[in-house]
Amino acid sequence: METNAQLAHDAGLDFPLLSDRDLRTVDAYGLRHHGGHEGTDIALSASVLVDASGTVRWTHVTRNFRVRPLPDDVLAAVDQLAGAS
Amino acid sequence: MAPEAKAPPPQSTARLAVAGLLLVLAGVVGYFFVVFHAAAWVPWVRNDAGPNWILVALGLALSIVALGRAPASRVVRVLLGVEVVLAGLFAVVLYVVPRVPAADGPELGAPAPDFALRDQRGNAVRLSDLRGSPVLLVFYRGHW
Repeated sequence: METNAQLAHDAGLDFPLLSDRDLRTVDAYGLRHHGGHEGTDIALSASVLVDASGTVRWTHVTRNFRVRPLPDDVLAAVDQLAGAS
Repeated sequence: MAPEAKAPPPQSTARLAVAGLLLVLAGVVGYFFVVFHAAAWVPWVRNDAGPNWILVALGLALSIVALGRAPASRVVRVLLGVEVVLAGLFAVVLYVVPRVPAADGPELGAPAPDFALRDQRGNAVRLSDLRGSPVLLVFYRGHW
């Protein structure tokens, strides 16, 4: 939680940063990276878009943690939700 | 080449190789500058590093031309060697170091698993509380 507070401060983020220490949520989403950081398990970098009814509608999971979804692609996925409803 | 043509002066060939090195450095250092300071403006560069590889390729090309003009020049050979090593390290950092195992992630069309976690201020956040509008979950690896 302290690391999250530091990150929120350093990067100027005002959305919630959640702490999943025991990786239970990470596991529920199938995103555990075994030995991902100095031998410890961490999360894989991934983005998951959930619609208003709680259904998973779009995901972005990569084989390279440098690669992130482009903001325009995320916004396009959000727009698609609006179009479908 | 006419038999009377002189070889280009060694200084200008060395300068060509130095220019090559500067281009390679610009490509490599420029990538990290983008990642740490400018990713919001050019996010696609972070992902594919295209412009950076173009700079690296141009730099290598200049130094290879310099080597062609002065194959015996030790300065040019060292500069080209350094550039090749830099380009190799750049490739490793871009494509080998960040490799992670394949994962499917959550199933599309399935209900997103609920969770109850604390945010950076200690507040409890439940996914089920956020129903009624879309939610973007971003899983990240820690403080960069």
